[in-house]
Amino acid sequence: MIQLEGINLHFSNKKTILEDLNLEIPQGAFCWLTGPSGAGKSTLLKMLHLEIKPASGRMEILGINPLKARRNLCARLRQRVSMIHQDYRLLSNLSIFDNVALPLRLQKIDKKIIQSNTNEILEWLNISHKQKAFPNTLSGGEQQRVAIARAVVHKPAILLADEPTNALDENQAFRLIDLFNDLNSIGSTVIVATHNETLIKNFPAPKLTIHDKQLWISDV
Amino acid sequence: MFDRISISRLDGLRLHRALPGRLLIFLVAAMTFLAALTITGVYGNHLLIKRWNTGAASVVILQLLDPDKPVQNSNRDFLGNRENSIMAFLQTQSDLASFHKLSAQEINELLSPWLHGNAEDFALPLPAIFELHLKDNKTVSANLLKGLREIAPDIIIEQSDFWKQRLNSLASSLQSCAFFALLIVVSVHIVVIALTTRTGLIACRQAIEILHILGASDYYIAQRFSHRNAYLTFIGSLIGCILFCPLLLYLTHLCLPFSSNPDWQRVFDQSWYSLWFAIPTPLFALFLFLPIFNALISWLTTEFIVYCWLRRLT
Ligand SMILES: Nc1ncnc2c1ncn2[C@@H]1O[C@H](COP(=O)(O)OP(=O)(O)OP(=O)(O)O)[C@@H](O)[C@H]1O
Ligand SMILES: [Mg+2]
Repeated sequence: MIQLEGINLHFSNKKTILEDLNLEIPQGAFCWLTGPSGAGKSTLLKMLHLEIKPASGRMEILGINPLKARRNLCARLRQRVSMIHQDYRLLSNLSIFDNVALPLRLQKIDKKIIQSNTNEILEWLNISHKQKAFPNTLSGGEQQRVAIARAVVHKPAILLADEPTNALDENQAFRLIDLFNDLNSIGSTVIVATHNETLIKNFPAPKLTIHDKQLWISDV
Repeated sequence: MFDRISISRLDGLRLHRALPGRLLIFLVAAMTFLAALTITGVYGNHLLIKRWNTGAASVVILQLLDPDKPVQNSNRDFLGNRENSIMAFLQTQSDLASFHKLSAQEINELLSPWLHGNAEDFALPLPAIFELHLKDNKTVSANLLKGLREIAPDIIIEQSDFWKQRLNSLASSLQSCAFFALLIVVSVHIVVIALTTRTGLIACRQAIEILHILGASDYYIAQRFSHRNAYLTFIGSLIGCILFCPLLLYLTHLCLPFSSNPDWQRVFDQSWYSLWFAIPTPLFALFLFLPIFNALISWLTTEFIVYCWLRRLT
């Protein structure tokens, strides 16, 4: 469950990105997020991922108000909301396996489960042969798949994907949306920011569009 | 525990690079050495003063001429002669640990080297001599002097206790100097740890940001840094203490003649390792405690710095 009310967001240079934004996404929903480049898609997703604070407004994510909650609670909320960043944000000094296993390790999950879950997702995304390699030795698409693996390995309650298919071929992109649908079917909320219109056409779902600092909602 | 170590190594915070071990260990060892030296100095100083206070400085000698004469004082009545009155008065003084009137025999022993014979043979009028022992940290009070003079205005009072005062004030100023030295050592320690931690945080900045957005708590990140700093400090302090041991043995050796150990001569003459047992227990305990104390300071400083630094992440 994501609820936003009267959110205003700007960076320190006072340039307003989002103005009086209201949004309610029920738990277990799937939606697309589109808009021209520079409209603020990544910024909105980062705000939902508690990386950026809005200047004003009220927000509630999974029943928690992150603007008022203690830091400890926010950290635990972050473990349940995961994001695939546009720039992947992999740890360059950890192997692919360790990068993907990190969310599980931070949750102090049993070693055997970490091993099997990580292997499973790496295999599904066709990168298990690279699991001992380091991120900077991988191609862009491979790095993107590692970032995806890390975001879904612990089956988060909310998945925020920021252009997760831009480095993948069409076949891989379709497979990926299947993965997101699987996650969606076990109750996760999934929001995917993309420019890829064919993808949206092939997988109809509610579409959020950011245009001129405002958010528009349309059913496809 | 095993699990925890394996997680720590795999979270991408390469603290063995970010918090350089050797430099920190060296600095902490040097500072521990300095602290140990200061503490030993304070302790030695304290021991010497204690010896002096309970020894020579606390003895007062009274000489009373004509002890058998009655007391001549118009203001008050005194029972008996001058000697008895003085004895009765001394009995009431709480500053005295003990007092003692020298017997004729003792006076004889004292005087015979000067008189080349038995003092009684010279038919000299011998004074009564009292030896007073003051309690620790007490000086001859005005009250005591006044009381003695009331009974016998011509009484001779020989006291070494103004030396005691001078020595005690010297000792306390040395003590304050040492305290400031310790304070400076501790402050430098804190500053060194704070700077190292900041450097480490900046070196790990990217990894910390990623861990933070993946849901690592401030507590987790802080304890990763503080555990390493506390561990390095512990090792450094231990090395500092071990390096200080030869000096400690030497100082113990120097201080032995002033110790209250009646057996000191034997220990003094024996081989060096018997000195181990002559090191005062409080000092020994302190050196065991020093690495733990230093590690605690490092731990607290690091926690504080990391928590403050993490505030910048939303
Ligand atoms: N840290 C920042 N400081 C200042 N301005 C920023 C910052 N991050 C983003 N912006 C600005 O916010 C606006 C929205 O950026 P954002 O990355 O959200 O766009 P986007 O919709 O994701 O674009 P794209 O489709 O190209 O990824 C941009 O104009 C950008 O310049
Ligand atoms: Mg973007």
